Amino acid sequence: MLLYILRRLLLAVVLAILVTLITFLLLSPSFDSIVRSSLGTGASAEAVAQRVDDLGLNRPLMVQYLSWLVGAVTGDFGVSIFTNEPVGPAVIQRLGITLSIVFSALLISVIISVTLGVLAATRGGAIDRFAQSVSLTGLLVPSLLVAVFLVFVFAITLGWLPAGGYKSFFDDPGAWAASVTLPVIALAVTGIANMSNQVRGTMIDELRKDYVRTLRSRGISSRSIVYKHALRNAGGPALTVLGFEFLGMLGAALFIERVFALPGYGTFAFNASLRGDLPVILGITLFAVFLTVIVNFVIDIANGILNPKARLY
Amino acid sequence: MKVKTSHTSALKRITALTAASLASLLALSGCATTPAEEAAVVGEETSQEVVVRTLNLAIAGTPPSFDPAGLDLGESTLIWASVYDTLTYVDETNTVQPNIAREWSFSADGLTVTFLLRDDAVFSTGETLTAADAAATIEYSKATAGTTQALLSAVDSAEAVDDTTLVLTLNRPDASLLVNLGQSAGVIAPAALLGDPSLALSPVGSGPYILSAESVTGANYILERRDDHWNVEFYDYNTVTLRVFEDAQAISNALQAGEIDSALIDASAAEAVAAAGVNLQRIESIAVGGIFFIDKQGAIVPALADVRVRQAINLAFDRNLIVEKTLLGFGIPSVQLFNPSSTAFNSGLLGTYDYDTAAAIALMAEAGYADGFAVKMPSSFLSAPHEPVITTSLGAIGIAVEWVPIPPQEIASSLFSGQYGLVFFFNGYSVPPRDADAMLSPSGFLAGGYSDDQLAALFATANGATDAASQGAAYQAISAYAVEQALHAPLFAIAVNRANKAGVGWLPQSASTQNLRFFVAE
Repeated sequence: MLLYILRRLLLAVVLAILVTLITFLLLSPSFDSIVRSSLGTGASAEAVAQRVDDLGLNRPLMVQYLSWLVGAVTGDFGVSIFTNEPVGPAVIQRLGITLSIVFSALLISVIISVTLGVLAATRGGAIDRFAQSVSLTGLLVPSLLVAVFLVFVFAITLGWLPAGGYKSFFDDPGAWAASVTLPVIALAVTGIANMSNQVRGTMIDELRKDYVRTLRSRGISSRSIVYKHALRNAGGPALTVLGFEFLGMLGAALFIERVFALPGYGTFAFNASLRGDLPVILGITLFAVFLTVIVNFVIDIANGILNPKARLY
Repeated sequence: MKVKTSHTSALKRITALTAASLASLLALSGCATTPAEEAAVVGEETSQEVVVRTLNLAIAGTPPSFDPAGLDLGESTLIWASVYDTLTYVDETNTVQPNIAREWSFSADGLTVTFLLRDDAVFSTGETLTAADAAATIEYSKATAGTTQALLSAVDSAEAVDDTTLVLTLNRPDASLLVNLGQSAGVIAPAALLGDPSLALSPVGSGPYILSAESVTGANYILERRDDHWNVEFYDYNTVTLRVFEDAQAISNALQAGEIDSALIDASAAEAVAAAGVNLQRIESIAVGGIFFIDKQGAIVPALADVRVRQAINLAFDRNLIVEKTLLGFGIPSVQLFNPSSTAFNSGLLGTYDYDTAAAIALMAEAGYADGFAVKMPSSFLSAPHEPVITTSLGAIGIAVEWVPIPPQEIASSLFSGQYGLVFFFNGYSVPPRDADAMLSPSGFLAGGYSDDQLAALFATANGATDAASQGAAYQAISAYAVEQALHAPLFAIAVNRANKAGVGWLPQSASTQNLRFFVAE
């Protein structure tokens, strides 16, 4: 297990270096433009050159990158070229906001998907058709459209929930819940659509297998067969979809954050990309790589827990 | 049994891990300082003696640095102009008024300005503001590469003669100096803090508000009024919260839901916002939009060196139709570069370039371009809504436009890249001297280094104009010359709506500057 963790950690480090280096090199031709953009259109050529020098952007590219890398290893990710905000704390704070919404959406998606998928697979009939309709509708309707609809109905028309903004859980749990309800629902719709379909499919496959027939012949209750045996075996593929769904929600969070004016990771990354805010982009990229590796690692561990034969460690 | 135990244990472990993760994420999201509770309405809590008012505003986009050298002139002005005092003050009619500088005088040659400062301005740290702080801040902004530096290009030095006397030595007469000193160039920070990185995020000034420690960078900026400020009677609101929105629709939603009290909104959102009972105040002429000829020398596009070609381009556009269809009526068709409500606007120029494709084609032929020519123009989010009409209009007179997509961070540098002879751009209106500098003077970012003897003479006259009347006449003359020579092809002066909840008033009819002083409780 320890070796497995070390291998994954090494992989994460190598990936992070590779991805951030490529990102840095892709941005390098735009350094002058980025600096000029930060100084405004009235800046003289001398001012741009001075600022380029202040930021060290006229050093050899590998020197610049290695300097950033050494800082990153020690926890110093630099400061934003545009706002002077330290990158590390800024990314962590915004990531916390986005992940609190994404994980809440994921949790709701899992609960509803498993329920719908199991019911559809075991009961069939009208429930199965309903589940498939829900899945299809969720896949067809973009999260953004769902978000706009939710805001119009529940915030503007009914006034039950806020139209936007974010409240910290530790300041006011009730206000936090109110502020994330609509974004979470908007994100969860696609998650439910994807995962319920997956759970339904794998459950149907499991329930057709010989071991299920054997268990029934031994008098094991249907409830026990479904929840203790079949669902557990169907969990592996569902977990894999869960991993993809998490990353998908992280991407979709950008649009949700814009609709609900949430100061999250997606908006932060998007704005930094538009401006070419190099330190922020590198910091975001680094965190994104590690997040992806961690998610995959957790999925692998969970798979291994559910199915010892699938353990990679 | 073994299977049951490991399955149960596995579920417990996963549940525990999930709960721990969720708790840590909630902790992370609360790591930074968090905003104070917002009032859902313009709040007034009354006691027998005190009226406490709160105001919730929306601003589009995260403000950049609050360092004096890096101040932005957009909506973030509402924040930094509340924390810092400036030497002068530009009021809602674009008139320069005294502020920290009680009075000032120019030397006969216009190259020395002496300011007498107030002695009752106090920084939020408790120290009294002196001329030394003002001088140090100006010298700092001059020496530091940033957005403020260019506004002080005419200033050679700043010297504190005593605690309340500041002397600026100029390298040339500058008609926009007093305006600049009412904006970012005139902010005053404690001399001891200049260069401190913390100033960029937590500004310290002598202004009527302080930026609360509960503000969250990029999300909420909370301003608390200083009731001991020397000018407090002009600021109606005790607490002002500015929320950052990255999306225009989100602003509209928040207005309709009653969560914010005032915001600038798109024309497309006006109807929905008005239906929600929010008052709309049309603010005319916030920027000029049009085609700017960066290459009047003809180095990139030889044809642009010919005034007849530039005039033909001006004639090729139906400005009335553009305002009606593209801007949804939120603008004024214009062939002039200056604000239609300013003293520089020359009413005698109306009708100079009325839409006339035939006349444009004739001019092109006269200039030797009967077969037209091809040009490249940078394509970005600024130009995207207008590209079809530009392509069609120029195509009708034989000019084939190739749009070259550029990323947002290269919009500014595209003006200097040497690749484009003309660009579509917006220039936010300021006062005529600043607008003329930006768009027509050789050092202006939209002028492309162009100058000629007549234009230089007109600028010299304008820079030497000492009173409003002569200044107005001088800039009208510049406007007339710019139109006659088709130095650019302005298309419209764009307007915007400010949406205000009932009880909130906004003073200016144009928006060359923004200040919390302009919000009044009605």
